[in-house]
Amino acid sequence: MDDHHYKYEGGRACMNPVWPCAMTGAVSCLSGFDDLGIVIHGSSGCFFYPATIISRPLSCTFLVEEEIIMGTEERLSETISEALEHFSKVAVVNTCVPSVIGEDLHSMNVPEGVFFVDSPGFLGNFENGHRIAIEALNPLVDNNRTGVNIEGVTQFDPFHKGNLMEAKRLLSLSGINTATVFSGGSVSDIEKCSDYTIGTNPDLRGAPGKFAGGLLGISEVRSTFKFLSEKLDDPDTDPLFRECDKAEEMIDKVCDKYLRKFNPPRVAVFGFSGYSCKVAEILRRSLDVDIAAIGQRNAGVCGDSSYNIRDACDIRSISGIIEESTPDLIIGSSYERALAPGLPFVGITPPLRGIISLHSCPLCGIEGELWLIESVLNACMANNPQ
Amino acid sequence: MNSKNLHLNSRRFSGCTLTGALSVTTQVKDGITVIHGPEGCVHHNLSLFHALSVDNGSLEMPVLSCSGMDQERIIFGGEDALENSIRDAISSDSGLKSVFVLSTCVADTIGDDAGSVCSKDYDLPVTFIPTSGFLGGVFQNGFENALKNLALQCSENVSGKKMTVNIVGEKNLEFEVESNYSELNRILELLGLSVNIRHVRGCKTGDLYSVGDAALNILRDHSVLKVGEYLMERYGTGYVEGFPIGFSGTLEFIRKLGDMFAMDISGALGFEHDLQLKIIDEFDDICGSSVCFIYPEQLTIDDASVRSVIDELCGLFNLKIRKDGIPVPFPFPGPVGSTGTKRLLHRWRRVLNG
Repeated sequence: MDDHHYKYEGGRACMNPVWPCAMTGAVSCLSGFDDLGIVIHGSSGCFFYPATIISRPLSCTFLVEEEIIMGTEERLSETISEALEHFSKVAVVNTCVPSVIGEDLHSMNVPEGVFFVDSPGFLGNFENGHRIAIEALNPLVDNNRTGVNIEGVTQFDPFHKGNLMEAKRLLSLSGINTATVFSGGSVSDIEKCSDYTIGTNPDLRGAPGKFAGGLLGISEVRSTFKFLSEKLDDPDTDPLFRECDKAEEMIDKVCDKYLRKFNPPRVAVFGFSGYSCKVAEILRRSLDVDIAAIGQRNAGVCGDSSYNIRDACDIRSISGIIEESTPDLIIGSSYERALAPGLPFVGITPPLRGIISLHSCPLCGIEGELWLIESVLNACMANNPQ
Repeated sequence: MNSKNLHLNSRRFSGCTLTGALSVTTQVKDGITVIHGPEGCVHHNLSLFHALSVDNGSLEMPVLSCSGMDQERIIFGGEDALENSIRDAISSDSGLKSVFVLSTCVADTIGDDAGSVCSKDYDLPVTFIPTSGFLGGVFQNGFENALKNLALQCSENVSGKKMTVNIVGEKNLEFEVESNYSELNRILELLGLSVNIRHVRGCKTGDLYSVGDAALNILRDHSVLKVGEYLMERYGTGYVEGFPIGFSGTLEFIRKLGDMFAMDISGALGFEHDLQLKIIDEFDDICGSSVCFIYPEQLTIDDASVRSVIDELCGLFNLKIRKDGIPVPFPFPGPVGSTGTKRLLHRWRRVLNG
């Protein structure tokens, strides 16, 4: 992937970047493991951002200038020792300045259970950090492990908890155990992954073994579980397929009713590349919407070239997309909502500031598609009362 | 050097110079801030400002440009990228009047000279504000440097002092910043005074040139004392050390301004005193309560004005401070003016009656 492509559009400087750095991606990924301590090796400025978006305790070396001159090892050792009082395993996530001064952290004599994740912010975007963190965890397939792994879960994603619950529910509905979660549960599960993995977010890959498919949308759920039913011993996918049928009937009914009265919206979707393309696909199929543009935050995983796909990593490019594509529904983050305050809005992309959300809502799976359709229709009708 | 001595250093937890400086430069509405560093740093700050805007019911976002320092620029230097970013920013908006350039710890570590890039010829004034991320100090250092550097734009030949005041060093990230200003403005109007500029909040580049015109600077609090000293040295403008805090602090503030402007303040003082008596009367139901205060973790200063507010209110309402008393919100930052103190009393009564 050419990250540089995402920093400059038409040779112009990045204005108001809206996507987090690799360090944040790594911390967000690792934070899912309940029994893993995380030390951010950097200054308070680097710590405060992930600490505010991730709702679990994080440690930090809180470096000061003297340590950059004299060396950070002593300070890091002390912080690791404190973290080990609470966790048996600790990940040290490096930040820009310690990385630039070239300290060889890997040669440090650290206690067992401590490992380093070299993902300073300048190395790239959020997804890069997620990938680097999973590589550092060194996940291993255990051929005796039953069940299926779930990947694509990261704390930064407002749908992470709902997605995980939905993925587990769909597996359970088919009589399949959940194996290792990337990332969730115990970090010790990393050494005994199943051979098959399903994904909740196609932009956040990295689990070992064979990829059985994604869960974004009901049609993808069907194909993924069809694959699993052919590969695994005795799963019972009939209840799941019946639920898919029922959900599709409900969607058909409400969408048809909506279209009897209203025109379909012209939609601009902004967010993770994979999420955005799947949302576009679902809405085009269910509601015959016009996808005015897809603004992706990261390198594309979308295979459908019929969409107008643009990079949307900073406010200038987002403004340009909204201005040129003239949508009448925005699906994205609170940045897009701020740029188009008069338009109906559905939030799927972090951050979602100013929106209170306490329950665990999924974007993936059967429940995810139902949520998406109801949210889009409600947003459009609220703006179009007749 | 024994670095063990550094482990409890409060500077560790005091934030980034970049955020401090941005809290000032983003208040110049026809200016743009260019940050020389990685996009991640810029995003961290944009996210913070966006969250604060939404919390305050606004969808406004500051304009932050970034030199996009990546691995390649860290190896080969990023000064060219910074220059391109400045020129791009200037050409991108015809309504732009000024450019502020901040540096990050990454730019400082690789030795980029952002100051020299800013001294080149551009079509607009480009002001370099030394920040250097955590290598340049903490949030407060960035905040002070920005306040001083933005005052640099003013000519030292001030034509003549007006009967106006500047408000200096408002904490733009503070939740109550506008209600504090409203209260201060109310008190100033009682005295027949008006505000020249808010240095720096919600202003335009042209406003910055008049910072030397006011007869007095009112500092937000003693944390910007150095800025007050600097403005006095540069423009000969005296200052008041802080906003009025608490009931008696407000009356004292009125007396102080009366002395400084040599004006009759008896009417203003009488009005304010009556207002305070009405407020005290409104809260007589909390008299005699037992309370306790939980000190905020971040409070590392022994703030005399906060202590005087506690002493004053406990005395007025005969509140007993006991370990087993009902915990009430700690008055930090101190309540501004009489109406700020009234809002604090509402918060206390809510808890005491709960």
